[in-house]
Amino acid sequence: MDLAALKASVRDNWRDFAQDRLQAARRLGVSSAYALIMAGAFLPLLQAYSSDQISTTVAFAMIASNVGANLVAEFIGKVFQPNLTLQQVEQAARSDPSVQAVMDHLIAATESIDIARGALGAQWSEFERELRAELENMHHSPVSLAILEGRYVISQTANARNAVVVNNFGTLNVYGDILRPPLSGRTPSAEQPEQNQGQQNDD
Amino acid sequence: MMTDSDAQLGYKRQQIYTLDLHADPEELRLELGKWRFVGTSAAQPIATVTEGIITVGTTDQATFNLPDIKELQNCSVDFEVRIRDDGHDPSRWAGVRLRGFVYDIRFGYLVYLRRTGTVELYRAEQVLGGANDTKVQDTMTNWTRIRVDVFDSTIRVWVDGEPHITKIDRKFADKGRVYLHTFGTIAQFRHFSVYELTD
Repeated sequence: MDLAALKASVRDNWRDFAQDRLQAARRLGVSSAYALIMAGAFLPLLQAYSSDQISTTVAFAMIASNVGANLVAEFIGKVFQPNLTLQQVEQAARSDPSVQAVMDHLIAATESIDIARGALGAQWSEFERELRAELENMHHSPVSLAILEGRYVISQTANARNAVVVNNFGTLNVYGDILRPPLSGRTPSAEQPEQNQGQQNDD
Repeated sequence: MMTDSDAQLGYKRQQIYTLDLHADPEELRLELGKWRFVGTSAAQPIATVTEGIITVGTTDQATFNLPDIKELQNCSVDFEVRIRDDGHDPSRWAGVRLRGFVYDIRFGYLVYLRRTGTVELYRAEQVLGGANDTKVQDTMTNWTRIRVDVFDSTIRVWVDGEPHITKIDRKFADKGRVYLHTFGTIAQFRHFSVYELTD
């Protein structure tokens, strides 16, 4: 499975969920808009994992390769487990910031929220309201729904507070927020030699 | 202020923000209090200001430090930076992001000085320029002056006044945040100014 195949599965899932999302949630054993978004993206991986554990974890590591190797390894260790249910995955994402960080990356990479919006049509507004409220009430790390490059992503920006600055005998100490384990865990690679200045990059 | 060289670039450069690190301590305290400083470890403070220099970050975290200015599309930033500690990993870096949005190196254009002395332009899992081109011999003692302009789809980077990178890239065309960004370094910044670019 690669990212394109995973996205296709997410679209299939949302075509199904959109028929009756409440019933879909009941059937999957989840109880929130966030969990349904998560289920749409993660269910194909969970299903693939049940038949081929090694290929699925390798494929997932490729899809999440820019999250940071440690976070991905931790996620795989916690979430890719035989017989793990979606409810348990949802619980892990809600209670463990590192799991949620990787899950949010998976949701962004698969464009799951936009796929859900397209599938839900007129139901989207209500669903979006629920999703926003849930995200802002995530107890360990408040996040919000934002639009980036025309696509929905889960963002932490909106909830950062202003700095607290303390004057300490001529030195200003600046205290700020602590971010949950970041998506930006990987240093930009220095591996690609760059000789083609001035060329276009249009992708 | 627009200079002759700016005019040759085909746009005007209007300063909209400068961080005066020599300001009265109370004024500076109020100004920095409007910023958002975000770190990825529990280490606090995330930054300190002493004698006109702001020292940002620690060797065990990334930091994202956003001034209180509007989102910008066509913009320019200049600043001076040096890396005081790289945690024994010379690939670590400190720099600025333009057209940034969320705390994620995939978004916006990031220009940074590595401790090794390269000044690189990065976006979305790709180094667009500057890798393997050492521009600075001593990144820990000497200040490196970096200017970045993003105008429409053209990104230009100068190092110590000399043109270094020119790239066309259309990945991030919309407005976004400007912020100081460090990764695993204790870095010092000064003379940080932000400009809006117009036709």
